[in-house]
Amino acid sequence: MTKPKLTEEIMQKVVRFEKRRTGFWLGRLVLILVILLAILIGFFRIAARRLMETQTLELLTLFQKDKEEIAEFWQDTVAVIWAEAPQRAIIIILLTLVALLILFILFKKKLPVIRKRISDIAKFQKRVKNN
Amino acid sequence: MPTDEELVRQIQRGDILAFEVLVERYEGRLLNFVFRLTHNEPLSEEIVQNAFVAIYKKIDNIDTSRKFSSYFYQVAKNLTISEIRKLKPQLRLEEVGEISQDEDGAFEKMSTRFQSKEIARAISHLENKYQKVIKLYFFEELSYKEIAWKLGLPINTVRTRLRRAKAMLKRKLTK
Repeated sequence: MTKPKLTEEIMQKVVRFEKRRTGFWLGRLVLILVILLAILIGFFRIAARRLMETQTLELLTLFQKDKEEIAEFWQDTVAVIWAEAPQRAIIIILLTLVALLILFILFKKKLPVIRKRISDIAKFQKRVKNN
Repeated sequence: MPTDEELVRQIQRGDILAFEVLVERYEGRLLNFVFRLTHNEPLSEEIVQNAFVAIYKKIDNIDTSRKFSSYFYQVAKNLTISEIRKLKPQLRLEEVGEISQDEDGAFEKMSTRFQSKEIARAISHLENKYQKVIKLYFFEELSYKEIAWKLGLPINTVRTRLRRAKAMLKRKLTK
């Protein structure tokens, strides 16, 4: 095998591997994103329905009142809201939001690398096609 | 011209095509090295291809403050040994173990030395502690200090072992 041909074969193997790896990474990212969003929407709906049923959110109208009244009752109001709210659902929503934030940071960090890889894969394939 | 380490950094940043430069830079030398061990052209090419792909797969973990060529030859050597073992299970590690991974001609020199089976055999008959210092000093071209650090020995012990090993080798080879 000639040297350029060997280089080409190696690069083809490398690009094949990179296509699989990048595809897998993107697929996994989308899957995790979909799962997290589904959890978020699901539990958000549960929490919202519960709060509507109990009309808990109406307690928030306290904060439209006088400053003195707010100062006197805000702690009780918050305690009642917390007691009436679906706490487990809210904790899950908060954890999901944290997970989404971490995912977003990781994605933002990795995005330039992934973008460059995809563009190089396209360049290489175009070159092979033209040869 | 970018250095190996610069190219590795570029690849780590997603520049796949920078790997092509590394392939072009090393494939000839690697092919010669593997061919000397296998004496089989298609197999050598396959090993070389696999070595490059293996290196690419691990490229994100390569420490760019270290010499790339050393790492590169180490991977190639290990792959070659395992491929040769598949073909010749009776092959002794010592027969291929002397091949170091350093660059700048040392690699070529060692391949030539390897061809001298007599030396390889003489070394393989030394005690393990003497084999180690010989390999590190002559084939990996480490200094006394580096060998001492690597083996966790006092520098004078390294010096003594090397002197004894050389004397033993000399005796064996002049027999």
